[in-house]
Amino acid sequence: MTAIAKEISTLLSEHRHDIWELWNKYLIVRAKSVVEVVGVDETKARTRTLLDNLIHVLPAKDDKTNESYQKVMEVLAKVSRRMSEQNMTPSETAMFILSVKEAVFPVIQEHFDDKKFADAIITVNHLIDHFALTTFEVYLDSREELISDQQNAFREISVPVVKVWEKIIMIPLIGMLDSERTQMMMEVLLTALEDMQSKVAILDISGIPVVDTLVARHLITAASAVRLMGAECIITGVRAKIAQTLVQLGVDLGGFTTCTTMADGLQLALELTDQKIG
Amino acid sequence: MGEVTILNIGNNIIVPVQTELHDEDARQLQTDILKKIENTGAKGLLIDVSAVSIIDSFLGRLLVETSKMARLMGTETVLVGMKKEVVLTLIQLGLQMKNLHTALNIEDGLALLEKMITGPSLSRRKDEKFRK
Amino acid sequence: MKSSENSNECFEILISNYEDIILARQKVKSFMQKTGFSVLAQTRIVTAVSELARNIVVHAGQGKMSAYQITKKRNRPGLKCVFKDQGPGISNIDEAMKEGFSTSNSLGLGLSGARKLCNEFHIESAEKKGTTISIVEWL
Repeated sequence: MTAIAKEISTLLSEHRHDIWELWNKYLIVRAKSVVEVVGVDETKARTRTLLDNLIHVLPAKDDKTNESYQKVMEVLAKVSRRMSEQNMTPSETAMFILSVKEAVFPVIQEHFDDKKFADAIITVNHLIDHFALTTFEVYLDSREELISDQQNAFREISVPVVKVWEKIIMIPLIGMLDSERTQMMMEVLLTALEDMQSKVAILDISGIPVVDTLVARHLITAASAVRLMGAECIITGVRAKIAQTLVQLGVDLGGFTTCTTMADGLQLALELTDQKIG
Repeated sequence: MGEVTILNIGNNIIVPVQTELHDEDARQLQTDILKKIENTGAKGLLIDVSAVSIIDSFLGRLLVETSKMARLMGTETVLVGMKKEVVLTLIQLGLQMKNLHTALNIEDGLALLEKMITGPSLSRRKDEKFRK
Repeated sequence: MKSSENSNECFEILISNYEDIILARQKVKSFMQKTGFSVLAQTRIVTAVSELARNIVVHAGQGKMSAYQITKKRNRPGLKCVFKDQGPGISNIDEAMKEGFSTSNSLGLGLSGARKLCNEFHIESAEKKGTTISIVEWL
């Protein structure tokens, strides 16, 4: 295999300019969107670097310490990252490196006999597929980074704390309450209790569409945390439907004060803190 | 020992925990508190943990047990000033300390003790059965 | 651990009594402070360290904790603590990991709790051969 790899390397080296032109032509015709994102000049520069280094990598296979190998990885990482940021699809991203085959194979076919041809194709395929997978990994990585950034931003705005009265704070919960949001909500809630030295926290669940066992467990967790801090927790917005589901599911919210309307909750909170309106 | 001061003010015992306790210190503190109750006949016990940065399952359990023991001796316990990070950690750990009374700070804690000792309050109605 | 690409050992503490638990807690805490972990993360991990160090004292008598600074992809730093002892070991790990399981009249929140408090948790143990537990927290 090594012998053939060297042979291919020499062959490609001889035809590097033709291959490079063919590759670029292919990219411009068949993967226009990719070229648009990367830019025509840059595409040409990138493909040039990639091709030169690929030729060097061939005899070394996927030896990770090889200088050319690292160079290829570096260029591919840059390109994939860019594509991911520009909302290109994974196939478009992988296309960038995979398309080099379209330019390399004809040259190999022309110069090698049938038996060698098969070996050569396997060798080249192996290497390029390996690199294509890498682009995919980088693409996924930067996607994940993007998603987690967005999630963080979303979480930060998704838990507002309202000081409704002296010593009384309220958190309106809207949307789904999963364990991560509960964690976030508890942090915000306890920070507010600590900072404002509030005695009562009202959790309003009017905006939660479905309250199942899991959501109920999250609510209990949050209410327990409030209690451990030394404050009272009142859960408001318990509609008929929610009351029905909770009892049918056998969920016990018994330890915590609950009521239907915000108004009732506020009234109770005022009593708990010995306050009156007006 | 003697690192943790146990104060006796009026009808209450106040324990401001100022250092990180290791397990034996904590056990010793429990004994000291109970002895103090025995000697003074205090009606209320207030433990201030606002300076404690770590409460693990051992210390958490010890606090809950101390409050149960104090109740057997006719003394109500309030734990005050737990840091929010400590609360979140205890919750995640699965330790809810259900039967422990808590307050945000010493002032609120003393007020709560007063209410618990002198009469039923709106918020603590369900605890009445424990006291009778 | 496969997610870590390299690691530097920072410190090692022999654990054989209750004072050592406090020492382990303090060292981990100051390390996390320096690395820039949030107070909440510090509290969670130091609590886990406390549980696992106590396990060594109670069940094995002695052992050691080694702490490493590790880094992941994109240079995300992390802390890895390894607790190793030559104690009696755990015959049924699944059972020992259950909440409420205890052989020492404790709450049984040590192992199960520590697992919930950190990002990654790994346990290896065989009867009479000791126990190795590692925990990882990423910044």
